[in-house]
Amino acid sequence: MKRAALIALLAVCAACKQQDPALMITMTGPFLVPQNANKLHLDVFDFPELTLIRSKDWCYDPTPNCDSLPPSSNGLIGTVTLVQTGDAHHRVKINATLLLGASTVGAGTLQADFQGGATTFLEVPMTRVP
Amino acid sequence: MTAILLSLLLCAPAEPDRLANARSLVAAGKYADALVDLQAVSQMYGNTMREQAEISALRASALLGLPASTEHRLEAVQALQEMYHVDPDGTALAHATDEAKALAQHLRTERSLVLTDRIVVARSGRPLRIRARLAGVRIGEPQLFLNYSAQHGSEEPEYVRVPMERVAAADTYEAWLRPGVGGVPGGGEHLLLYYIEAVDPGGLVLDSNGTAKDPIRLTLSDTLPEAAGIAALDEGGRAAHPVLPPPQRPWYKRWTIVGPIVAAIVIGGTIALIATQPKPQPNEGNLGRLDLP
Repeated sequence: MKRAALIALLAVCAACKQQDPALMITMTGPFLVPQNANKLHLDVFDFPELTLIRSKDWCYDPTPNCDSLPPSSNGLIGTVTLVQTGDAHHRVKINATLLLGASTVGAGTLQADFQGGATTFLEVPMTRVP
Repeated sequence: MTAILLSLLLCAPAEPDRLANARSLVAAGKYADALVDLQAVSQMYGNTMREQAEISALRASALLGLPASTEHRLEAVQALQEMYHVDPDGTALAHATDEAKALAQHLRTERSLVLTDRIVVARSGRPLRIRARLAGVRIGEPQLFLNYSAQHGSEEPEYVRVPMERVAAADTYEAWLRPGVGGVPGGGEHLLLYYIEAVDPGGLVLDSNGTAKDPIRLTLSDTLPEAAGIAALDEGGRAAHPVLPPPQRPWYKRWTIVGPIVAAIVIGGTIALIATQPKPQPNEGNLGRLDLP
């Protein structure tokens, strides 16, 4: 009886714990990997200061500094989760760029707010760069 | 008529203190009168041991004050012996005449005397130690016997006779009565009769403190107060054994100490468990997770 009460208390208290605020961003566009694009670059800025917080690359041919970009035969669908452990950033601006070799072939941008203790789902449409 | 009788009863003179009167008569040298009073007092019910001792001492004094005769002297010796049996230190001799004191001193050195602190009440259901001392002259190595009986009523008591063991103290002997052993009651309210005899190697009784006909009466009780009540019950009585306080509980069995410790451990453990519970994590995309500073 006492043990059950203790477990229930722990479960309740564990439930009280909230996850870190997160943004789940899905980048989509009419790009075949690796035919139309072989690298994705992401920049995260604090808003409105536009201070660069974090950058990251994904490559079709991965390297130590560039994680793997999976191939896609029906267009690009890549999802990344941005997580902040504190509450330093309330609003961020995200710039995503698609490259084929050294040439930029697509881009997309978005501003989003972090919601405390929750994941916000967003989509960034990637459009061709003329 | 009834009213007159009632008023006469109510105005009846109080019973005079005949022991004090006897004391005064002895001091005044009126020994025959003192003996009459002492005889009356000795037959009264409820005399304490101190009073019994004083009666004996005054009786010896009065007998020795009468015209000298062998019979008076023998009776005086007997009275002083009785005094020592209930008053081993002879404190009752304070009111005795010089002749009685001298005879008492003579007795202490020339006769064998079984001296004991008579126990009149003791806690039932516990081992009881009876001690006695053999004073005076002796021939050879005498033996002391404790005779006791807890089975009596209207019948003649049957005594159990046990030899008393000599202990380290000089001329001191003791015997233990253990509940449920040898006819000793295991508990409850009982009257135990006992007397102590000193017997010489030839089987001759040297002295007997109490007798089969006139034994020492010991009340075994579960309810009578053991320590505080002794003096009130009988001024000559002593506690059968010291009152032992209950053993102190060890600290680890005291809830006042263990309780807070256990509570602190339980509360601390619960807090630690909660604090170490992992946070729920958001789902990761197919490109992974990016932690912001």
